[in-house]
Amino acid sequence: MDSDAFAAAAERYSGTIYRIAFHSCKNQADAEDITQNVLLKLFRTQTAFESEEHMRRWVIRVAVNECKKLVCSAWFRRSVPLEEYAQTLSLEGPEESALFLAVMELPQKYRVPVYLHYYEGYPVKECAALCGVKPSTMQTRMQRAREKLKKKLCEEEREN
Amino acid sequence: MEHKALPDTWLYKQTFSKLVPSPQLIQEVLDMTETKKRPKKFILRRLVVAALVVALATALAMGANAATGGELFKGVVSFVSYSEDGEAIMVTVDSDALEAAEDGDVEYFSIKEKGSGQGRIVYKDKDGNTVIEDIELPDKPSKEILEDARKEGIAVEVRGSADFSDEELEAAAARFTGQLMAAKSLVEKLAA
Repeated sequence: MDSDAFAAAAERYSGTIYRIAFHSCKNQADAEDITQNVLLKLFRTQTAFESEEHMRRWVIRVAVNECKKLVCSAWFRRSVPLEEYAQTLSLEGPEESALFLAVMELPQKYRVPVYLHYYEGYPVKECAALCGVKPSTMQTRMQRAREKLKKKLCEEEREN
Repeated sequence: MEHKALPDTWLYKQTFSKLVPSPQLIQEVLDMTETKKRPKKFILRRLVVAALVVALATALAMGANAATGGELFKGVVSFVSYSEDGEAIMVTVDSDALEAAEDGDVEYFSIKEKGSGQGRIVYKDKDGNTVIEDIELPDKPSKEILEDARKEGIAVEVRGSADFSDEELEAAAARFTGQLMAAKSLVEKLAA
């Protein structure tokens, strides 16, 4: 990939990679490392991308695999507590803060699928392919993730 | 009560669109691709991960040939260690093993290094209980640890750049190998 094409791709996909990595690690430093690794893999790849969507899927798949390799958590890393980090994101209103924290409280295996479905707009079957799991497993994970999110957000609403 | 935020993809996008990498990060990557130069931290992580993957892959192959101990050893899913700058590295063996462990189909354990030289193995026993045991690295020079491992069939390949001395590379390899050997002993003890 030539430098100009790579610069454009880096600009276009760095946000997606970072968000996937953050959903997986909940840690800014790890998410940035993963973003860096994936972008460098993109630069070096010999894959001939047939379309924008092909490249996007390749990037997401590699990001998911990088996250699996470098699974991390606040337990292992020096990290800023999520509440503090949320404040730096300029989230607007309690709804956004509650959603951010509720998603981050989900177990690790649910967070990336939720992101791929709700943010990137992939159907459950596609999420399964991108995460390398069976569609039935993904269906169960999405269902459980939704239940957990619902419970958490309802609790938040009652408290407020 | 159905929470209004749940199926709201707009709110999800609105919230998480604020999660973006720093502009410096992208610039750093662009600089790297222009000069082919990488910061030391990045090289170290890749180096250590490479060493771990090779060690684990070999150990797994060896474990598969053993009897009952091999069955348990085959289920290793992760290995956590710290690089010299104190950052944690966790390597998963492969996604199939990880999935199987998540679904509760296999026994598994992970190794977590707590500090200099001491590790901790976390595994699930056959009843599904999580067991945590401390492991000590062998009190031997790096060379001896690596030689012992080679005799056991664990070949550790270390790749690195000129930024690292041979001693540093050998010490890193010995740490991981030592932990693997300690883990293997524990697995054999458990299987006995």
